[in-house]
Amino acid sequence: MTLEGVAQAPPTPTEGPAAASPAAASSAAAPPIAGSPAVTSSAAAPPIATSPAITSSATASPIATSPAATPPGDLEPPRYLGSPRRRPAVSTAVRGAVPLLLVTAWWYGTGSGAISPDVLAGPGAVLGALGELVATGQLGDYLLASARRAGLGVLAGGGIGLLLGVVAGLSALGEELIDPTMQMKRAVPFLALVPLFISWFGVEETFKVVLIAVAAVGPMYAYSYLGVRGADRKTVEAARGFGLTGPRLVLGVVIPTALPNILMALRICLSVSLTGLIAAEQIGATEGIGYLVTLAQQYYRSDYMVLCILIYAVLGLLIDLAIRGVERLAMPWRGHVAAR
Amino acid sequence: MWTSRRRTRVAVAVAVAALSVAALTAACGGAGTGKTTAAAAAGAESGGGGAVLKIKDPGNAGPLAVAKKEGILEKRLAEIGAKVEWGGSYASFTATIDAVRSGSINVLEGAISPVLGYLANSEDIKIFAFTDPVTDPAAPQTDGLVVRPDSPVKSVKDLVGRQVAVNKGGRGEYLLLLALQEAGVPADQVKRVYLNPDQGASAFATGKVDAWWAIVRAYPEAVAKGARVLVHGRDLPDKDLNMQAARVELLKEHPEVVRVYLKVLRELTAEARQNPERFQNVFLDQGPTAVSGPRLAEEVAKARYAAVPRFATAADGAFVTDVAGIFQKYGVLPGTVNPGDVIFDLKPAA
Repeated sequence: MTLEGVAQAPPTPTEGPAAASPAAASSAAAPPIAGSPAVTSSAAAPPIATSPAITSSATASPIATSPAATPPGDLEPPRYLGSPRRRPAVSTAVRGAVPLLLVTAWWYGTGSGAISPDVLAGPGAVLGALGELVATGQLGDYLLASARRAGLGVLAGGGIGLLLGVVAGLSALGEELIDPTMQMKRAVPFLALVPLFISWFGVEETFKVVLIAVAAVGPMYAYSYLGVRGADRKTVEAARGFGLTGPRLVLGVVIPTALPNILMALRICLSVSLTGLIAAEQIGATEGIGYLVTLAQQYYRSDYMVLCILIYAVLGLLIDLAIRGVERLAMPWRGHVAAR
Repeated sequence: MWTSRRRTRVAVAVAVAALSVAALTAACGGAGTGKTTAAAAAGAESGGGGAVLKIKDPGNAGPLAVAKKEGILEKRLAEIGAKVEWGGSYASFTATIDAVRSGSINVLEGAISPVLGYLANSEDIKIFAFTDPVTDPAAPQTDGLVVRPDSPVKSVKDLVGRQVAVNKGGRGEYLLLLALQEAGVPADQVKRVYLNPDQGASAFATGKVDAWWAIVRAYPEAVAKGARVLVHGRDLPDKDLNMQAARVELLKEHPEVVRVYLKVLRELTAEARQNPERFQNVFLDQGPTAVSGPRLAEEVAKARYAAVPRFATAADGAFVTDVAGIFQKYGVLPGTVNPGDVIFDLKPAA
């Protein structure tokens, strides 16, 4: 998106001075510019004379100033726009530094006695709790049960959100029909729907999956709508010129263009599904990572409470990694065109 | 341009997505199938023809946990052609009530106080059994009004102008109102802060409230952390008995099923008095639900003195009226509760 803006910017400025200077030389109508050379005119009336080149290019991107500065004919290869690839080891180390710092602070704070174990359990106790969960096989069961609920919920909710977002993004009628309702729905916190959903769907799996699905519809709709609206008209027209229409146009051009947004939506949907899990598994569950939060509270186990936070944090990391992997696979061109 | 490399990449992405979807649906389908097979065998013989007893998850301790582990209820109910379905657990009593309302649970265990609000507004459930209070002074206490060890509050009278955490419309609030009434302190001079037991624990531990009526699991937890107890429920004329309630259609159509449930519960509670260790850590020795050390010893001692539940009779209406009276007097409960409407006489004629 930003790249296209930058790429389109140069033609206008290069036309600018070329068109403006003859006009300034020939017409005596513009008083300040009339007899003066380009240098003084630029000083006297910057907005008219030199400006099309310099001001617009300065706002568009600093790189574009170089062609204006060097005389025409002496072409210079454009500077590489993307940032140089960082060394993986450095990147990983920097990435891990802040979380490691937090863990160290936690370790030191609880170990030195500055933080009472009632307020925050220490790493040792939390690791012990993790060991117990692994030993009894609960951790695997809980993760699987929650993954099933969250997966089905995000699949259903995300699917519906994507469909609605694409329809609203593509057609004016679709937008008129769908958008107001979705904006209303987005404002309703899904947690407010819990009592209603219990009376509609009971307290079993259906309720849990529906709750997560409803939570996932909102972000997926908003982002895919945004992505589809942002699809480049020229690209779409070009694809039309090649004879693509209907579903093939949508699947082949519009959705791939919107893919960065859709994947961002997927990230948010998956995180929201974790919130949904906590709410859903408070009710009628016997396993799940949200249920584990409930258990930790009911049995006053602060070590398990901290463990739950850690599990959620690690899941957040894994979700991000997975989506990054999908981004690499599904959008291999992005590394070459993205500004960063 | 569709290069072959990109095509493989897209194909891989699609395949990964498709596989994960397939795995999820397969896993989900697998979870549902187990339930139906066990029930199909039981035929309709007498009394319980096709009735299903729906009980919430019993957790890791107590008579019902043992019944679930050893399949005792399943066996006994199969004899009369009924079956049992073990549900999930609930974070709060309100959530449990929601489950009862939606029919996901049809038998419910608890104190009188928290269900009164539900009983006052609906005719879905009736009480069919009570558990008399434990009066033996040797039995461990199960609740208490606690203050922090350094608190200037020495008695219930000192609570005037202070904040006390209680669970709303539940046992904590009932006992606090009762204690204030006994001490002659007007209830509106003490600020009741409504917190669930787990929230109350953190608010109390960090000194955000001056006192807290800790009940059930919260009480030993608070005492273990050094809290000082002002008064116990047992020191008061506490009429808030433990009770068993069931949905009305179950009681009316399949009373025999509920009788079998109560019989099993009575037998197991009696057994737990003799052999309490077997009723702790039933499913798991480790994990958040497992107890060990002094907590285990305390739970064992509690089970040793536990009273056995009994059929509710018309005379038990007095307990309901008493608890409802306190709640009504202080505006916790808007309407009255007619004991005749909420107690179900399940006792067999013989």
